[in-house]
Amino acid sequence: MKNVLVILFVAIFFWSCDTVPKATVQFKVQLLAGTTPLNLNGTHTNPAGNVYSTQHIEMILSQIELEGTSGWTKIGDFMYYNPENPSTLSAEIPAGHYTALRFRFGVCPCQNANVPNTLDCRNMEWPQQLGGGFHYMKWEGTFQNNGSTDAFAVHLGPTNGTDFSIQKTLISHKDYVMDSTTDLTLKIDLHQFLQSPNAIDFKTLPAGIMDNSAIQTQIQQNAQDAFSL
Amino acid sequence: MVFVSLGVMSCDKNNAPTPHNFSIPNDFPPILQPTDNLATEEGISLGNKLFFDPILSKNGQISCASCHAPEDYFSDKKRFSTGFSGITHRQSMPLFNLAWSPSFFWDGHANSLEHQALFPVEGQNELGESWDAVIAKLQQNDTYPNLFLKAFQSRSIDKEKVTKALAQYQRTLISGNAKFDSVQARLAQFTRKELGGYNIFNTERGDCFHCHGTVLFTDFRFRNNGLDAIPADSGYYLVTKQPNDIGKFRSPSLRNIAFTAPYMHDGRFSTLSQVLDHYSDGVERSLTLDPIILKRINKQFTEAEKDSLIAFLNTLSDPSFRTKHLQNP
Repeated sequence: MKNVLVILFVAIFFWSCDTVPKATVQFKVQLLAGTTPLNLNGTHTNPAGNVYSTQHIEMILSQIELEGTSGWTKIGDFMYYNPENPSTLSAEIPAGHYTALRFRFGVCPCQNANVPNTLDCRNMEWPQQLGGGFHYMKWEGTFQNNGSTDAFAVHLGPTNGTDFSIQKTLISHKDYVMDSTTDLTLKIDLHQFLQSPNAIDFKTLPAGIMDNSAIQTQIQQNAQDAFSL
Repeated sequence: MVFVSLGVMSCDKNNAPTPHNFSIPNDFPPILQPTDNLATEEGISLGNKLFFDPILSKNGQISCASCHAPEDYFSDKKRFSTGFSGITHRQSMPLFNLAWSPSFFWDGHANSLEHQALFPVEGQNELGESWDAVIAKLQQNDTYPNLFLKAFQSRSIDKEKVTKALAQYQRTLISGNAKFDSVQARLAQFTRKELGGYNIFNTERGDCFHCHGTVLFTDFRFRNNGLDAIPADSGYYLVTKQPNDIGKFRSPSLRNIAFTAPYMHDGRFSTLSQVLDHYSDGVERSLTLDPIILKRINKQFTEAEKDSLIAFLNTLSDPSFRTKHLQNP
């Protein structure tokens, strides 16, 4: 009799587990230059009026979570993103209603040891001489400067060991109902990194910003408004 | 009946090739092998033999090792290599740490080692042979059918098996035992000059690390590093057909760089000093010049900085790799 009860209990337990409905969220990133999608084969004009083209951009997001009726659910620890070969972070989560996204732009130093040992992520390493850790973003390109072509390189990361990563929580204006497979796209407006409260002009951006805490601070302040759903 | 079945089963097991365990240097990323060509001892041994065997060439005188010599870290000291009919138009790249490379050749026209191995056989300025002829010669050879049997469990030879064996062998060419690695492991120390070079390399003063970073000392990306205002060789453009890629070539690894001269895709520089002179004040502007390089224009290195950088680059040499593979054939 005792054995029968144990078997019944185990069966009910597994039956219960199986019946928790699941959904798949496909987390994507879209890069914007102002209101238009970033064009890697064309030019844009940034808020300072620089006509520029992007040759290369890549970034790391981390600690990506969704808030639903039962609290926060992790959808990924890290996501490397490069629009030349765009990745999607796919996760199975409990089906239900979700209203907020929480993530970190970049990597918290406390997570450095957990960054995946892949070529993409390793290429984001930030040299020990400059504080160690990982680039949050590499954004490189050229711009027109009084008739000649100059380069810009917005390399964001833990300058001198200071954590400039940005943790954001975005409350959705709509209720995401995850019941099967649902796309969730994080929009990142690159122009917001350069605009307010600190106007940044490529013409006056120092050639090297990886050891410049002042610039890293300014861009971190600007980037607070760069993210939306 | 049961006895016979067991007997056959045992034979099959005994004939199965032995999986190879890669010895991966500390801190290197894991190796991602294609699931349909996992390295085995027998496959590697076969690939090794094929790599050094001139049977792959039309005249029976040229092997892969003719242009990728183990004594030169599997590169060629000559600016261009001499093949079956004429010389190559690009410098022969050194071969090591290929297991981590997502693309091959200076312009990336192959996306796997198996894919890469298809090209040199039929290149007229390389081995100059047809694949049909190569397969026929290997099939008629006294030794090879048995080696293919051991590696792939079939005496029937085709170009897929040949390229798989070559790829398996080349994945074992791993170099990660330089002084730099000993310093990272706290088993050695840089000299003052080497440390100075290391610091220039890894800060925006030199800004070498953005293209030659990580333990592999390359980001495997394609860049125009300012060799010519009008590139004579279109490089990566020949693969992508995107105008933005004109004059771009793959960033090579700087490991063993002291022993893999001449440098650049066309071997135009014969010393590291010439390379540093280029980055110091020889960069030519062009439409596709890499922003990292463009940003460095007018930031000349002092002679002391160049000396320090060369001292650091010398710490990337791994003589044990050369010794091991000189003994191997």
